[in-house]
Amino acid sequence: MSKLLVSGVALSLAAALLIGCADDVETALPCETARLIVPWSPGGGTAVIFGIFEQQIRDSGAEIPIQVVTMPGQGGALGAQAAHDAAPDGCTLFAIHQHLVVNYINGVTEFSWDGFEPVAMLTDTPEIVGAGGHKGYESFDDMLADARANPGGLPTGVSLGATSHFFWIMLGSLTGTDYQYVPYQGGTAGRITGLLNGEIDLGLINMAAARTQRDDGKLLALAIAADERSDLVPDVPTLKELGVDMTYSLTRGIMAPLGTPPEAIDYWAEVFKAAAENETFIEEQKARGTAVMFLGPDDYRAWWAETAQGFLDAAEALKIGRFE
Amino acid sequence: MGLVENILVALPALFTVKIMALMIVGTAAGLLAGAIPGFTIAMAVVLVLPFTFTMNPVEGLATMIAVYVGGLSGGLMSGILTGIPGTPSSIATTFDGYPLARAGKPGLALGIGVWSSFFGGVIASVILILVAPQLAQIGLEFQSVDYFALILFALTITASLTGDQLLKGLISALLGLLAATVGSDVVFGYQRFTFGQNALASGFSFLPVLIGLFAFSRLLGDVRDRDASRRRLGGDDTHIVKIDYWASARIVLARWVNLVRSSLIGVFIGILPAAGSTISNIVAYDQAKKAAKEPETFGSGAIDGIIAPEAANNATAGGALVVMMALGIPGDIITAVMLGALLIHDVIPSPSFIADEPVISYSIFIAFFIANFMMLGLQSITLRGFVLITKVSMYMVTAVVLFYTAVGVFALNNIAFDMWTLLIFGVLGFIMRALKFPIVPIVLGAVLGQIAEQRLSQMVAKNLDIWIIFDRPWALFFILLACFSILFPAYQKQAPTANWTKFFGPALLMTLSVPVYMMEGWIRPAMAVAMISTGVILLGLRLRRLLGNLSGGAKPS
Repeated sequence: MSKLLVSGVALSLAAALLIGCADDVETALPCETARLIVPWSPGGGTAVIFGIFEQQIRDSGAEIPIQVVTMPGQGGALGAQAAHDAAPDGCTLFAIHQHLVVNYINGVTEFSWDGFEPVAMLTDTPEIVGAGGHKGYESFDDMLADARANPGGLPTGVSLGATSHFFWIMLGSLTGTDYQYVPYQGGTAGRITGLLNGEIDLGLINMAAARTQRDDGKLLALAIAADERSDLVPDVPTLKELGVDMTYSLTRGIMAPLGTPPEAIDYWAEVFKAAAENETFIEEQKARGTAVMFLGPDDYRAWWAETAQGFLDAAEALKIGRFE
Repeated sequence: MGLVENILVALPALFTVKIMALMIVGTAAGLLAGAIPGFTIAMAVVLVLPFTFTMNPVEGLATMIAVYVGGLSGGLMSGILTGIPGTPSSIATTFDGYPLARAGKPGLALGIGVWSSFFGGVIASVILILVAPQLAQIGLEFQSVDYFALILFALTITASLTGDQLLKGLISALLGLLAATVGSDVVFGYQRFTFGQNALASGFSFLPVLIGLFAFSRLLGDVRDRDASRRRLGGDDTHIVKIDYWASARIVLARWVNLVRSSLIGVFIGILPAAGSTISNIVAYDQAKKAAKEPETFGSGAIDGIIAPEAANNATAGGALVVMMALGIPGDIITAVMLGALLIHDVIPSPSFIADEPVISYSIFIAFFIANFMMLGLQSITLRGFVLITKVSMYMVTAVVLFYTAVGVFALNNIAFDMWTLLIFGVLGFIMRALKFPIVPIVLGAVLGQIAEQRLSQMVAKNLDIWIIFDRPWALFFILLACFSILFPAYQKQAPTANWTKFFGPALLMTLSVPVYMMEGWIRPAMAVAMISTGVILLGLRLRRLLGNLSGGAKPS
């Protein structure tokens, strides 16, 4: 079976190479529109960002436009599986972030990032540690002291088994703290409601909330998990400043099914590079706390290898998921 | 006053030729999308989103609101004429709208539906413009236990919707809850009842379940034999459908109590994040039935049964808009998409948004108001075309509608298995109908099961015990309401004769005043005092009359 698959991939590679030699790469793709699978609901952060890419690529008069196809379900595993199983002809792309590795660790999918060909890294959104105003913390250290005094006692909103859950596990292992996880599967918006009405004490929040919801003291932003402070919320210290050697962000990029011909990958990397260089797009994303950060296929692959190893090491040390 | 100023600055931003043109196109697109079964409003708004990237925030949002309002009202056309809810928000419209249309009064049914939609939307937008900031805060008061109580209350509606068939209704509701548990559990992602089938791992999507149970099963029933399938949808007498707008407007306005109540229910459910018009139209229908003088006419073409859901679903849109702007919390997928559109322009919702950005926020409210008028105007044109469907033979309608629903269901999540879900639940619904099981409870169970589970799991994760309901006023409020809701069918049946029913109303008022008194601020405790005083006075009056009757009856005649 696997032999068959390998030879099939080899054949299609060879075919693609041949066609690629004979003609332009653009016309080598056997489709008029490529689909970009987003494994979450329309209206979510990933779907919105790639919706903008879709529009820009259309506007730039690209020969092959892309079409965002949202496939929510099973915490992102459904869309990942569909992208993984798709024909590696360059007509299917997959929009993803670190969630791919977290799903693998949890055993939801049998493949990790190396089940795909990296195409391009595009944006980077650092996570912000939020707390409910009802807790009255003055600083991140207040929170840690409270967490040490109540091990496993501070209700913390997370999407169980997702990146927002993994953050607290990693923070916990670095600071010797433990939290009470309350499932907020709907994502950031639900968590922010929970923090505002006092249902939960802690949770990751987004830049929009950190910028606008803190005035009346109902929401606190304790730290940002980036290398440097953000211009948008200059009063929020980084975890590193606070003595926790940790950065944590959602890094969105494009992958393609394993075995997609290198020409197709280079073609898409170029297309997305051009779209990511759009000034208005960069400005708009910056206002939302997202940095546009382009990496080509090779650098993106190296990034995945390093990032995934970090996640796997942490999971192994903590004996969670498939390492339990 | 700030309000008038806010409206005055917003008006010039909104009333441009471009925005008005965009809104008319948006309303028309929404009407069309809402009328096609299986094509949800959410999909229509998602499709519009990319076009709004190049517009300014007011233009983009006005267009989306037009689509939203158009879609909510478009659902009633297919709901009334074919018995198939065009969108989940018009489920309850089919209960009475379709029977009335089949009884030879499609024009009346449509006219009432359109006007109720219109007035519901207008009432909601007036409320929004007046008290949006205060309203938004109520949404924040709801914690998981309060939501859980609200959903328990919604499930008790089963009792009043099933009438005599209580046992079958309960079986049907449990089947719905069971269907909701199939697939990955909402918390850990463990797979349940999948029997090793990969396709079942994500569970049954809600929309194909709904369309299968409602539409597919009914269509199957309509084409059971050769004669039935050649019959025309609107009956064989080829009457011309005429919609008497003025007459139906008068009928709707004459029932203003129902109209206002349903609109208020709609706005209230709209401000609760993640509740939405799917729930509000059913709750409003149920309340209308409970308040009706002749509840037995519900289900066979009662006019109040059309007014309630249509007023409520348009009003819900207004409530959802407030929460989206003030809290940045989308109530449903549609407001989620709108939120995305706001964020793209770096307009970030916050509790002070309405004060900080009066042009955008009041433009949104006024756009919502105007969209309702556009909807009314366009409905009068599109309805003429749409009623022609009643002259088509059943087998053709069935084939075309099934094709569209299958395509729509697939396009929603791009999952081929959803089409199988449609078939499975269509057959299940057909069998249940044949065995005279009510269909509504199973749908309620399937929709609410998952939300209830999610909220319950949050309570469990926080190690809360069940007595928390006595600490949380909203939770207690809905639990008490649920208890009365269960007793209600008995009350309605025995109302004219049994003495205990005289005390039902006062008891309800007095009991509910307890959680209302527990709430913060001074307005609501004051309301509680008013409620309890009214309850005591009513109780006193009725006791006196009862005692008077008893002593009067004891006298020899």
